[in-house]
Amino acid sequence: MTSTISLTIDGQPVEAPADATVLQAAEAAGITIPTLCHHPNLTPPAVCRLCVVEWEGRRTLQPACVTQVAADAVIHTRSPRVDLARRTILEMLATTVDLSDAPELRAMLAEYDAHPERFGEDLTRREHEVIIDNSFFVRDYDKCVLCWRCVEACGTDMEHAFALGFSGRGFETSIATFFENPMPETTCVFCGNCVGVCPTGALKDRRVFELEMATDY
Amino acid sequence: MSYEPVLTARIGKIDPASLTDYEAHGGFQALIRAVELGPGRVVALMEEATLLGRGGAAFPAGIKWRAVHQAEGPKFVVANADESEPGTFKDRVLMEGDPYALIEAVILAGFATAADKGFIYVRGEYARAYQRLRHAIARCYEAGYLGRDILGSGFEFHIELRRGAGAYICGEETALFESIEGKRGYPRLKPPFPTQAGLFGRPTLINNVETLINALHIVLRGPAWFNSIGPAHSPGPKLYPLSGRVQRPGLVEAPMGITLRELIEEHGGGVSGSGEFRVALVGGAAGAFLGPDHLNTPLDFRSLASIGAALGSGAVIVFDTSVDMKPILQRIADFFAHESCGKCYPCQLGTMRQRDIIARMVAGQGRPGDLQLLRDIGQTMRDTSICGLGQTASNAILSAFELKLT
Amino acid sequence: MLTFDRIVPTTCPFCGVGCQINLHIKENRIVQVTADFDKRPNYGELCVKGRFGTDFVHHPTRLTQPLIRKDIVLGQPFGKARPARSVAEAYREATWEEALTLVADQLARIAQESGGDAIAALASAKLTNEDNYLYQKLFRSLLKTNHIDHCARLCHAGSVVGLMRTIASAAMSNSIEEMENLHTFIVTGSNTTYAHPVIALKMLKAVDKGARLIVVDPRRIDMAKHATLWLQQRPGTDVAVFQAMAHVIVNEELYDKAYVATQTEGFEAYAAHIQRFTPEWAEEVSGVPAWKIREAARLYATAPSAAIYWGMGISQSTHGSDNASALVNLAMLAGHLGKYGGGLNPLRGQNNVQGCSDMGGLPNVYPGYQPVSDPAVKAKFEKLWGVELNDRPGLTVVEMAQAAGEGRIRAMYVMGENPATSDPHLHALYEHFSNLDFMVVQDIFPTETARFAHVILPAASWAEKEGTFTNTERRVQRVRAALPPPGEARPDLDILQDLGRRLEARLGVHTAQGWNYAGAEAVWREVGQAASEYAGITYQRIEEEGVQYPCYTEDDPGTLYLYKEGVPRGRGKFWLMDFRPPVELPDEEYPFNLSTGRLLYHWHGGALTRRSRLNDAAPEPVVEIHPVDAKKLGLVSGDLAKIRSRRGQVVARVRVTDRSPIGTVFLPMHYAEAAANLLTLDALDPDAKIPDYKNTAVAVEKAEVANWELVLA
Ligand SMILES: Cc1cc2nc3c(=O)[nH]c(=O)nc-3n(C[C@H](O)[C@H](O)[C@H](O)COP(=O)(O)O)c2cc1C
Ligand code: SF4
Ligand code: SF4
Ligand code: FES
Repeated sequence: MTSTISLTIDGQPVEAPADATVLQAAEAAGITIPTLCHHPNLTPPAVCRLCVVEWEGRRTLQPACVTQVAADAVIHTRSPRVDLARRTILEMLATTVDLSDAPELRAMLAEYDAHPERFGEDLTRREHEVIIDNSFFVRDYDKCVLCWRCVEACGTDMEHAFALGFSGRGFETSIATFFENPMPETTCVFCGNCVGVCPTGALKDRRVFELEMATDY
Repeated sequence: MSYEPVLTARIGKIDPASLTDYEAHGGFQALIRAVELGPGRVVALMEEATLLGRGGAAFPAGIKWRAVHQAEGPKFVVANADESEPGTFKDRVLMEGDPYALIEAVILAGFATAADKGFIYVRGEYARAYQRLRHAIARCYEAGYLGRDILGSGFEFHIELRRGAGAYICGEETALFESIEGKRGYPRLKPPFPTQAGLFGRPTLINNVETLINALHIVLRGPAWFNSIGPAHSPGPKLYPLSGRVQRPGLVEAPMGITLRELIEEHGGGVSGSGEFRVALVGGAAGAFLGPDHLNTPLDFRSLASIGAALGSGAVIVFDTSVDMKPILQRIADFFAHESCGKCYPCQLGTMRQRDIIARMVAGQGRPGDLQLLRDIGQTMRDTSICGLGQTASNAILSAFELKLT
Repeated sequence: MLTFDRIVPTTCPFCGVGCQINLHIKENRIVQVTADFDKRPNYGELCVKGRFGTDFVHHPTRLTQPLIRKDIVLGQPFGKARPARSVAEAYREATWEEALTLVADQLARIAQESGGDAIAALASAKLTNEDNYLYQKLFRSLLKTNHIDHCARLCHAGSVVGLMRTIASAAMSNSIEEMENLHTFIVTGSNTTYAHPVIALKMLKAVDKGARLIVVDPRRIDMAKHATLWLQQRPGTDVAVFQAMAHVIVNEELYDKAYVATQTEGFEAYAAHIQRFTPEWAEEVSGVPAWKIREAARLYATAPSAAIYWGMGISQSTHGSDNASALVNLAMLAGHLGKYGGGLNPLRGQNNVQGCSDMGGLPNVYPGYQPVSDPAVKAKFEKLWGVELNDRPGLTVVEMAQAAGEGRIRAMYVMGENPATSDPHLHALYEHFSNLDFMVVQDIFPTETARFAHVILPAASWAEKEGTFTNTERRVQRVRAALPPPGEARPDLDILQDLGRRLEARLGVHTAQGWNYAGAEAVWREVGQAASEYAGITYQRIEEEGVQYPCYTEDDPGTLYLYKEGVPRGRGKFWLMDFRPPVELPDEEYPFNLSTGRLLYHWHGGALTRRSRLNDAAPEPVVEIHPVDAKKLGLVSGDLAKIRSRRGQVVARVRVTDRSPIGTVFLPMHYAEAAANLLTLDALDPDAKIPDYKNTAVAVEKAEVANWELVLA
């Protein structure tokens, strides 16, 4: 049994198990913190940083999904600093990838009053061709937000197939197979667990993709 | 006040290939002394000396040594010799000119922490340093400084030399571990810290080359000597790589806390080009621009932090009034966009957007809200990035706008 | 972005893991399958079949109309069953009225002429508990026959007998959620990664967390890569390895003395009996180094808790019951029974093979494994159903076909099974079926078996009806109607009830409940009356998440792992056995051993998966041959090879791989055009009546042309 500690979140006294994350403690107290890369069944990569909160006395904002609570911490989940960070990240994301298939993210953009258009037009974007190389799912990396979920689902968190990894670096990073080989030439077993965790429609059942092609466009 | 160089004392005076030359100039005396003192005492000396890490983050070395000393093995020592910060070449000079010193320091750190193995991670481009270290390691094995029962102490230790992957991010300690482990150079989340779970998930002491070499002198001359040099809050000898528009660019060893003016005028022989100082970039690309107002600011960790700048690696690049700063800013923005590993969103996206915006400003096509955008991006990167790269990627650029350099 | 008309939660129709899935429906088509991340047993994880393979329900060859052979004229005598090349050519469409009249007339006639014992019925591991309950009830109560069996006979009968005679219970004792936290476990005769993919993931998580895995398998299966120890025994020598492990555990005194003393019987005799099975002897016989056998025995016996998982490699053998009993002996020695992460776990192959057996889809027992020959049980069911019952245990799958060949069985009813690919020695089976006076197939596709039928009845698929499946860990889970059945296809329950009403009228027998159930739920309620271990499970309780039986009352939480209070037999009985080699060994004429089994992308006889996009991933029959053998035969990957046994021959594409040991070739069971069972032999385990699908002597030679002809319609 872990002990219970008390802290303050948004002015509200909160009790939490000592090994809880800030996200868990906040959720238990009915306080919502936005997340993107975090998925309850996967190791949190803590890369999106949308869940950051302000912790009085700490230099930087803290990612709620991986930061452990501490006794007497005073935490703010909607301070101006937090909102600025979330808004800016969302705006930059929206100017980089196609979020049309990510309703939760679009709702977040509205909630944080994000205006991607203020970044102007002449921006570098990530552009990829849709990859259709098997009968089961397509990969539309125009829509990929690099949340890492698929890589983790393909790795030790679920499938242990290790067919997905990264290529490129920085802004040009993309999720890729080894040597960018077509899926059937990799260790992929088409479990689709990557598709199941993808939050943006970048990975999609081929049938759904084809239906969309036939109706929407 | 005249200062006798310590860290660079042997450089240029000895044959870097020769172990006997090294021994004849005080080499391995620190290790012999350390073996006499025993690990616990060595760690205590390191704690007494206020040695702040010279790799840039200024973390007290003694705390790390203590933590690893107390941890359960197996454990490792890593010398961070990746040195990729623009304008920084101090570790290179140390390794090329006095390679045995780094090896002695790594063995000493290994002895003090009871580590099983040491790694020296050398920047990929540093071919000469790599070769000299490789040669020196072989000689040390022959001479019994490495291997089993070092100096009759019963201590066994090995050193493996690794070449960097040509990425700035691999100098970040946890990305460096990943790189040694054969993975992509992505920084890890902290905690856990390297002293808890570092290389191969084991407790690891990682220090910069300059930090480690300071340890030799602390063991030989004692913490009191060390703490008496420079300001009490960040004492010790310091290497300042000086470049740009100065008459005599090069590596300067001086007491910590000399002023920017002293560095440029006394050591650099004054500003070159137009002869008139405009600005200096202190701490490399991750640092900040300091204008004429700050010529008298001491170049030490605390003083610089108090004005919102940072000493970083200690690199100082000087610009005179004739330099067009726009391309310089573009180069800095390009550098970060190119070197971001892409793991976390603020840096992955922010460095590119920063680059895009600087590019249009430089091209004369800036938009009304651009400066605000740069500030928002900068604050977001500083507040939310996983590692120091993103956290510092806007420093130089924002400081340039503060100083109205464009 | 696509929007869906509805999202219907249900249970995956493929393997026994019983993953919970959501069918996303648009315009009455399944367009996507997802899984909830917080739901047992799969917690959002799926394999390729569950996620992408359910499109079979929309395949154009679905049966949509009752079919009657063209040469049958109602009211006139007609010929025996004989295979049509294709259903499309040889049958005509009929109305339900016409088809069911014919079926009821013929079954009633044969029952009246020759008695119920002339009628046999195959239940189905693919259909729901409710379907199977009603099915066996129909044949038992109205037609008075116990000749009811299903393909569990062909997969786990060895396990069932091996477990029943030692501890008197045959279900998997541990649960899927225990797998992630295993300390030590043995996987043997199970290519878990292919046959139970989601269970394999849980096991790998345990390995990641430090669990010790012992794999005992002749083939280099994926699990072997993760094993602490891999014992690669020669095919068919399992008993030798397990007996030698027991030898080590006894002689090194590693056994759980308290457990053995209080919970078992026959230890003295057993300990004496196994003295000759030394690890050195086992090394001779099995090729597994003696040190590995010792090491495995120690790892297993000294663990605080250890589980054994097995599949077809153990049970599909003419000594399948001995294999399973040998594992029971090990578990009893080590005292690894009745604990968390400790037990005996036959991994059930099909979605509802557990349920079909539970529901009495077996020749010797009523629902809940109550023996038909037990007078008290007979009385209980006579009272419940209100009819007289037959107390003679019936015939098993292979025996039924043989009896048909001899004319003892005259009519056969096959519901959702496809013996014409799944039974051994198919040429013999074809002859037996051709001797039937009347055969009915009720299915969703015109299967290979359907081509023998006089009447084919189109059924609703799993996505088109209500009911429950019971997964391998005894969890009863809901199946829901997400789509209307195509054409005139009807849910199996409807068909059975319609038939039940007609038979009652013709035979003048009336059951207490009649044949007008209010729906699947009403049938399930009767199951609870028939067998108390399901009584506590109601549809309402399993609305969100299934419950594991035994579950006697509505406030009983169900049972995570079995035998906490001891095994049902009271004391477990150590089973004495000798080592027997496989019936058919390679010789000069047939120098290779053929092992048959499964692939990841297909399932069972392939009737479903060959009709889904899964087929794109594995479209052709492929035979795996070890590089050493391939070199001798002059074969390279991509060549065609003819594989010939004393009973038949098939052609398959060659894949050279060291997954199989030297001297053994591997052929999957999913391809009708190269049916592995044309080669296998129908010798049976004397107790379990299960054939040996893993050891057939074959010759292999290069072939020039593939004679593949896959007729789906
Ligand atoms: C992007 C980045 C690059 C870095 N590069 C180096 C480097 O090249 N050399 C170095 O010693 N430290 C570098 N560091 C700092 C290391 O992460 C770490 O703080 C240092 O190795 C600790 O040693 P010290 O305590 O002796 O300074 C870098 C940090 C960041 C964030
Ligand atoms: S493909 Fe999907 S799951 Fe994978 S990183 Fe991109 S957005 Fe995340
Ligand atoms: S701050 Fe930049 S370099 Fe550091 S982890 Fe994030 S993306 Fe990578
Ligand atoms: S949700 Fe915490 S960093 Fe992405």
